[in-house]
Amino acid sequence: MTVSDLSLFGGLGSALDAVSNEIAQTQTELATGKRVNQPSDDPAAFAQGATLATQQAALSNDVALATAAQNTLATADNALANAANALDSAIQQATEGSSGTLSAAQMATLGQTVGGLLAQVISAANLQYGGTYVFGGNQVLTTPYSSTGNYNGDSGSNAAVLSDGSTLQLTFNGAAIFGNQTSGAIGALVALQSALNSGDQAGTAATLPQLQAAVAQIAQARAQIGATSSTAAAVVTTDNSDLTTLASAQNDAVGADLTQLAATEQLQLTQQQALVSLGQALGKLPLINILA
Amino acid sequence: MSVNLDAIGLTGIYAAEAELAATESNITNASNANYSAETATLAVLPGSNGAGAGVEVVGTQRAEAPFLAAQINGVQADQNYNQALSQATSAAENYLTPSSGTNLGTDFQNLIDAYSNLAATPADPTVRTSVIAAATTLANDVGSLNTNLAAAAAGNLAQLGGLVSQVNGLSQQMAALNAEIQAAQPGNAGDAALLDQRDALANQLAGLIGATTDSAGNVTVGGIALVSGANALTLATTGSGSSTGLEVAFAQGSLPVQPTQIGGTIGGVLAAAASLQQLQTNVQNFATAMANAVNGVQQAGFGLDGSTGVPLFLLPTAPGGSITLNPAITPDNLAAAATAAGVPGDGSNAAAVVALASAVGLDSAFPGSTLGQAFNQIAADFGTTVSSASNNQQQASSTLSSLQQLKSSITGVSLNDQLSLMIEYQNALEAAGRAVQAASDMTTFLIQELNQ
Repeated sequence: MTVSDLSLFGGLGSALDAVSNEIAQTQTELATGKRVNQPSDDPAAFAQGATLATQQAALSNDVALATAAQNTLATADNALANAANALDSAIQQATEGSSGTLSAAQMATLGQTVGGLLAQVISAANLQYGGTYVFGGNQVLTTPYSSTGNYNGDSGSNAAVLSDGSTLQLTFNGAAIFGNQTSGAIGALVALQSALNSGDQAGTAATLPQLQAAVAQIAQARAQIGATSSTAAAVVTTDNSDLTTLASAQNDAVGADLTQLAATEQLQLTQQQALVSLGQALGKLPLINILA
Repeated sequence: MSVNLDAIGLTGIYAAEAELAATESNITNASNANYSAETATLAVLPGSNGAGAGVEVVGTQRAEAPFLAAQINGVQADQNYNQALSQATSAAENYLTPSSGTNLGTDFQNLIDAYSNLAATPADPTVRTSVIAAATTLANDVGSLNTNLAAAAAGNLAQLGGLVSQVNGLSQQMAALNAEIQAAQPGNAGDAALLDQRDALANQLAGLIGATTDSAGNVTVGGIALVSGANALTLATTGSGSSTGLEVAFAQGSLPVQPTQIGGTIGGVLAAAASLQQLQTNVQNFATAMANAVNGVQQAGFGLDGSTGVPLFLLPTAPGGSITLNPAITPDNLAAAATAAGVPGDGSNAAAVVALASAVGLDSAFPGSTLGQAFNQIAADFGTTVSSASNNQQQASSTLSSLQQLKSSITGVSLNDQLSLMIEYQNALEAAGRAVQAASDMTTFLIQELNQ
């Protein structure tokens, strides 16, 4: 078969174009570290990689939310611990005040101490974290308790919503935990202070079961918050682990084998050089060069 | 019996000269892709007594491979079609590539993440502002993508006028060539050159519009005649924008050419425009579905200021338009609460927006997918179009190269062959010259002998 000079050089040109395109593609993959840089590189892998990236973004947001929730809940737990300590002190005051050995003046002094404890509990109930009142239910911008123990919040709550639809409760119905002027911890403290101030031993003794119930209520709230905090910690741990898995899966879908690519690039550069050398050799081939 | 040695020798000189002339033309055109190698066609010149009286130059034979030429034109049309489609769609693909364009799936996820933060801290003005910022980015990116795709499709269609002019110019050249070829003496070098030109025009017309040309130089596009003998009809564009089409104009009217009948670069340009318009439609449908879903939840909730019914996005008011951020939305009227007005800590409505991220079928074109997955699928589907066009173009290019090499082995010029032939013809010329010289010497000898 006759091989025309045009086809000889034309074929060489096509081969050089092809290997140059391959080198450009390899170098792009090496530069980005990705086998799939645009949808047409591998449409199915691109969609999979994009979906995995979205899942990673959602999980990262979950981790941020859960971490913030842990901080909020830890602060809330500290506040509840302070309230519990105050109630324990109040129980001591009530026990002492109901012993029948104190004078009215001494009981009034105890009443003053209980007033301080009441303020301590109200302060704990008015905990504000990040500009939000934690124990006001949905009324996060309103101070939940007045100085006299009147509850201004509501029975709602709000929560961080994670990407899987699960929630982490971040605000709580303060009345259900601390009560108000007539019930719960605050009600018990108000009653105790009043009984002590009036020298009412029987009344003082009557507050003891209320105070103990309030301690139990606080403990229950702490347990609930602790459970939520544990859930948040688990979310952080699990999601971080999932993020590692997703990153690996994404690398499998769109990532490049850099070692293999480097070897491929070397081979392609060698091919290119060989083709250039071939072109130089072809230029010397026509018979006219020999005849000359 | 008498033999005219002079005359016989001269015919040999003429024949060798004709062969050398063909070789010279071949060598001169060795790098001309449209050239077909020529050879001088010789025949024995019959003598009066049955012996040869020399050699006669009958004409110039042009190397031809008509089957391969038709194959090449067909593949050329495929190659150009896919090249035009690939170039236009590859350029538009940049708008969907995360590193160079927008990813509405990511934008939507960022909006969802912002709402997720809002659900946790519904009264936080910073978080409320962040939601509006995420929505602004999403709406702006939708608008930018919509504008870019519309511009890409329009820019693609804007090429049609110039391409159609090229087709008309080539058609007229083809018709003129047909007339010249009909008038030319078959077998001479001029005729061969005209046929080379016609083959080149046929190849260009195939590449431009997928036209087919028969052996008489008649050109058709999708079965509709464009050149008939020495007459060329005019191709014209019709309509505008997405309804742009083509028609062949006759004296009595016009005949529309359907896009499916058109190949080559023009077919690729039309296919690319259609593909870009489809992508734009898919993006608009996605954005509208997303806006409707978010607005549906948003409008059912309550803002910090107690307002309700305020949409986050405004839907396009005209075909081809894009969603926009509602300019009336503010951090205070952003509806995070679901239960009632004036409950700043209620983030349940924001939580309901978050739930949209995992809802499937909101974009009805993708019934089993979430909105994020739907956009990824839109991008992947377009990637398949780009990839398919690119692969088809490479395959056609490779096939074209093989066919051209095959044809070139029949019609092309090998300098080595031509140089060998040139030596052979030089020798023939020299031998014929020596025959004439011998005849002359004999005549001189005879005259000298007769004079003595």
